Amino acid sequence: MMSTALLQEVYQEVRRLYIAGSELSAGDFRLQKLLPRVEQLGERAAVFQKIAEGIRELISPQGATGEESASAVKLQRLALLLSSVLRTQGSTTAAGELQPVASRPASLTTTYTYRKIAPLQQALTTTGGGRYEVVKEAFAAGIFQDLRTLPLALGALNDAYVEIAEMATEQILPAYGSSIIPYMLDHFDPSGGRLEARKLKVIYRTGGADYMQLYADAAESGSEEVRTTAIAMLKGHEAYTPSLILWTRDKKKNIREAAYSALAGSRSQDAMDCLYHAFHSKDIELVTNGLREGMAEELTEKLLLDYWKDVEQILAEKEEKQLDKLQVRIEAYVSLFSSMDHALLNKLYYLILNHYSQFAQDRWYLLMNQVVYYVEQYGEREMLPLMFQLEDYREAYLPYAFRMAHRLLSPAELYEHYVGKEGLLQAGVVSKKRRARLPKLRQSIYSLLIRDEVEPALGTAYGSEEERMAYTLRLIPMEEVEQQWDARWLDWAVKIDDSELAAALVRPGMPDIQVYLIDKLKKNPEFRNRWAPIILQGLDRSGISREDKRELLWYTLDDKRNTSMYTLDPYIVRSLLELPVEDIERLEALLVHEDSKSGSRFRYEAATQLEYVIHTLKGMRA
Amino acid sequence: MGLELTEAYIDGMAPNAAAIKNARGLIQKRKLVQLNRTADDTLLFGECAGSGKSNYVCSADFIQPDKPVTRCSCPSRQFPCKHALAIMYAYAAGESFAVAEVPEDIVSKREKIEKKEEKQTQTAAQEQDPVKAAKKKATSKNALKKKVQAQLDGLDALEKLLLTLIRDGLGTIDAKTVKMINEQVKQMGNYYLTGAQNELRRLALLLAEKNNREQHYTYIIAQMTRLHALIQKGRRHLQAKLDDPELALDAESTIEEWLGHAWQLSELQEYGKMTEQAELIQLSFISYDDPGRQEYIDLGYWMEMGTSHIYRTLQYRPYRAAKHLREEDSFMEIAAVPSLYRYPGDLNPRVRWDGMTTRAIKPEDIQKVREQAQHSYADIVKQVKNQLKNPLADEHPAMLIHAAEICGISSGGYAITDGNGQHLVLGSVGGMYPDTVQLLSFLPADQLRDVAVLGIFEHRMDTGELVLQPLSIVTNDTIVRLLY
Repeated sequence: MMSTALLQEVYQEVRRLYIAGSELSAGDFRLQKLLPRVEQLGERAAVFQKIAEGIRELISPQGATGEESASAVKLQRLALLLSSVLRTQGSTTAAGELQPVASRPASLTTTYTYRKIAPLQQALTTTGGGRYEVVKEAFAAGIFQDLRTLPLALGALNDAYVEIAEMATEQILPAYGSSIIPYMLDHFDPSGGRLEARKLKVIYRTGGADYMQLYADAAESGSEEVRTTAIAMLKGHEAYTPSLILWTRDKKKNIREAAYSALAGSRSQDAMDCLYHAFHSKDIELVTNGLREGMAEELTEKLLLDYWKDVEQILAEKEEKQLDKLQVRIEAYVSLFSSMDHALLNKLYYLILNHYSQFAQDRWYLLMNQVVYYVEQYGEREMLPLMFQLEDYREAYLPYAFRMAHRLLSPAELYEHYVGKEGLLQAGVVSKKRRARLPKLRQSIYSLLIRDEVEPALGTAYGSEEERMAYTLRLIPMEEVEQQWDARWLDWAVKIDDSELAAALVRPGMPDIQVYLIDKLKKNPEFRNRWAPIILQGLDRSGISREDKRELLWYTLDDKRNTSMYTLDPYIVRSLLELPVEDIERLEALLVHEDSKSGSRFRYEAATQLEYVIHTLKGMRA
Repeated sequence: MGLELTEAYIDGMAPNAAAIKNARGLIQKRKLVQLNRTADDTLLFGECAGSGKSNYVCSADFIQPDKPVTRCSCPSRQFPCKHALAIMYAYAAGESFAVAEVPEDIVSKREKIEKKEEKQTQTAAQEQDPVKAAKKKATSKNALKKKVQAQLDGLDALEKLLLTLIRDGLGTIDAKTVKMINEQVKQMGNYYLTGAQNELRRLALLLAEKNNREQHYTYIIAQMTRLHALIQKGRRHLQAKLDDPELALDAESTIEEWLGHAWQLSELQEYGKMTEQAELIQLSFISYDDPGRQEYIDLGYWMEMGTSHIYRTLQYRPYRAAKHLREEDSFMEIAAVPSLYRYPGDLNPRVRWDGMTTRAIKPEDIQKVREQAQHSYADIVKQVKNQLKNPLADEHPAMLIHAAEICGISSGGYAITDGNGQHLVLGSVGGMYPDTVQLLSFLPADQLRDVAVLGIFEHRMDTGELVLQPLSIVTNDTIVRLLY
C-alpha cells in the first residue's frame, strides 16, 4: 500500500504539470525528488520500472526545436500509465466498523417505471413553472408510495415554492402514516425556521397527542416560528394552561396571539380571567382572533354584558376620544360575535336598530351591517316599519329591508309597498332620491331571482368528471316565482327595460314578453354578455317553440358582432345541443376561419365546446 | 381473443408519456368512432375523429407478433401515434371490436413487407456467394483506403491540438481556447471519426465548466489521457488496416466503435455475435442526456436468463430527432427475442434485438436471477480492475453480486459483505446517476440480507477508492429497483 501512496504522490505532480503546462516539466524538482523511491520499487515490479522511466524522460532536458510537443507527449504517456496502474489499486475497504443498517422500513414498493418517476423527480429537484401541477397529479396517482420518491417528499418540505412545501406538510408526508415520524424527528431542530415548523406539523398530523412533550418543549424553547406552531398544538390540554398564561406575557406579538388562541380551548378559571383581562388591554385584537374560534360559555356571558354597557355608553357619550376607544371595542365585539345566536345579543341588536339615527353612521358601519343583516334574517314583523324607516334614512339599507319584506309580506303587499309607494311609473317624474333608490331596488330583486351557481363547463374536458367548473347564473325555480312574486313585477321590469328581471319573472303564455326577450337578444347577440344565457333561460320558460329557438340561435351565431368567445356558458352549450342534426355542417362551418386575420370567432375553450356539440350531435345522427 | 395485449405492453410501445395521456384522452372523449378486428385477431383497425372533417383511419397490425406495425392517416410523425395507441388501449380494456375483413390497402402493405423481407434474405444469400462478394469488395477497396487515410489525418489533427493544450497548461485555457476547440470539434466531422469527435466535445464541455475548477481538473486530465489512448490505439489499428485492406473488422475490442463504426446487425451475425432464442430480464434502467454525443441515451441493464451475463441496451436519440424517436422506459416483463446481437465489449457488452415477444415475470425467474450473483469479492474486484485499467473501456462496469448483508459503516456510509470477512464499500457514482444509496435506510431487513445487488463500479481518482453504486436489489421474490 506504500506503493499506492507513492503513485498518488506522483500523480499529483503530474496533475500539477498538466495545469502549469508540460513545458515546465524539464528538470522538475518535485518529480526529481520522488524518482529514487519509484526506482527502488522498480527493482521489485516491472511496472514501476516503466513509471520511473516515464518520469526520467519527462524531466530530462528539452530536445531541439521542432520537438516542441515532446514534453506534452511524455506527460500524456506517463499520465496514462499512472492512471491505468492506479485504477488497479483502488481500495474497497471501509473506513470504519461495519454495523447493521439503522433501517426504518417504510414498506414502499418500486413498481413505477422511469416515465412515471422521472417527471416528479424533475419537478422536485429543479425550479420553474408548472411544478406544482406535476406534484399534485403524482400525489393523486399514488406515485409517492414508491420508495424512490420518499427522499423527494422529504425534500419537498423545504421547496422554494410555498404551495409545494405546504402540500408536502399537509398531505404528502402525512400520507405515509406514522412511519414518517422518525424522519421528521431525525433532523428536527427547534431553533430553526419555517422548515422545522413544518416538520412539527407533520408529526402532529400523524402522531397527534403521542408527542405532547415534544410540542411542549418546542413551545417553550424553539424559534418564534416553531413556538407559535407548537403552542397551537397544546390547545385543549389543561396541563399546559399555566405555561400558556405565561406566554401571553411574551414580548413577541405572535407568541402572545398563539397563546391566547390556545387558551381559548381551556375551561379553567385562570385561563378565562387571563383572556378577559387581555380583551380589555392593548392586546384586544390578538385575543379576539383567538376567541373567534370558540370560548367558554362563562366568558361569552361576561363579554356580552360588557358589549351591552358599551352600546349604552355610546348613546350617552359625546366626547370624540371616548368614542374612538369605544369604536375599537365595538369592532372587536362585532368580529367576536359575528356568527353567534344568543338571546342577549338579539335584544342588543333591537336596541341598536331603535337608535338607528345614531348608529347609521360611518363610524359604526360594521356594527350596523351586522345588526341589519341579523334583523333581515331573523327579525319579526313588528321590526319591519323600523327597517323601512332605516331605508328611507339611507338607501344603502334598502336591500336588507327589501329582503326582510320579501320574507314577511305577501307578494301583493311587497309590490305595493315598493312600486306603489314609489309611484315610479305613474308619476313619470323621477326625483333625485328615487333615482338613487332604483338601482338598489333592482339589485335587491335581482339577488332574489337570479343566483350564482357553479356548474361543470360543458364540453371542456375528456370526461365529465374532469370538466372545469364554471360560474354561471341560474333563475330560481318557476314555482317560487309564481308563489312569491306578484305578476305586476313583470310589467314593471319591462317598463324599466330590465331584460334580465323580465326573463326571470316570465311565465308560460305571454307572447308579448317572449317577443320582447327575442328582440333584446337580437339587439345584443353576443354570447359573452351576462344576460345572454339568462334570456335563453327565460325564453325556455316562456315556452318558446323549438323552431323559434333554433331561428334565434342561428341569428345570434351568424351575427358578426358575436365575436371573442373564449368560453361558453353551460346553458348556451345546452341550448346548442338542442339544435337538430341537420345543422351539423352549418356548425362545422363556424369553426372554419372566416378570414385569415381574425380567425374563428370561437376561440380556445369555446372552440372545444363547439367541437363537443358537433361531436355529440354526430353521435345522435349515427 | 387470440391477441394478448396488456396495458403495460402498450405503454411500452408509446413514444413518450404524453402520447399515452393523449391516447387515453381520445378514449375518454369517445373519439374512436369505429373499432374492428380480423377474425384471427392479427389486425385491429378503426376510425378516430380528429379536429378535421374526416376521421383518421388507423390500424395496428400484429401479423408478425414480434414486430407490430401501426399505421394511421394522421400527419403525426410519432410512431405509434396517439390514435393507434388508443385503438390498442381500447382493445386491452375489453371494448367490443366488430369482426371484419382485412382492408385492401393493408393487404397490399402486408404483401409489400413480405416481398421486402424475401428480398433481404436473397441479398444475404447473394453476399455469401463468393464471386459476387469478391466483386463488391474490389470496388469498395479504394473507397475504404481513402476513408482510413482521412481517419489517420483526423487523429493527427486531434493529437496536435491536444499536445498544444498540454504544453501551454490547462491553467491558461480561457473562453477563446474553448471556442477554438469547438471549431475543431466541427472539423472532426470531415474525418469519419464520430467517436473521437464526441470525446473532443466532451473535453470542450469540461473545459468550459467554470464552477469547481479544481475538481474538474481531475476529469479533464482523465479525458485527455483517454484521448491519448484513443489516438494511439486508433492509429495502430488504422495503420494495420491501411497495410492490409482485407483485414476484417475488430470484433473483439471496442476500437471500431471508438473510431465511429456503427455495427450492423448483419455484421454482428457474421462475426458470430448472435444468439438465437434468448430471454432477457431488465434489472435496471436510466435515461439521460449526453451532451458529449449530443444525444439522449436510454440505458438498460439486462440479464440473459440462464446465464450470468449482464448486458446493456443503449438507445441513442440525437437531439435533432429526439422528438420523433421513442423514449424507452423501465421494462417490467421478460423479453423473448428470436435473435440477440452482442456488440464487442467488456464485462457488459451492448446488445440489440430486432423484434420480441414478452411474457410476465414469474417468481422462479427472479430466483434464477438471484442465483446468478457472483460470490467471490476477490474475483469481482479483479475483473472490474482489469476492465478499469483500460482507458477505453466502460468506466462503470456492472455486476450482479451476492451480499450476505448490506451494512452501515460506523464512520458513515454503507457496504456489502460476503459473509466471509470481505466487503465492498457502496457509494454514489454521481453524474447522470441519481443517488441510490440514500434509499438503503428505508428498506426492510429482509431486503438487506442474503440478496443479490446489481451495481456499477467507479474508481475515484482523487481518493483512490473503488466504490459500488447499487442499482437494484434482487431478493427471493422481487427486484427492488433503486434506480428506475
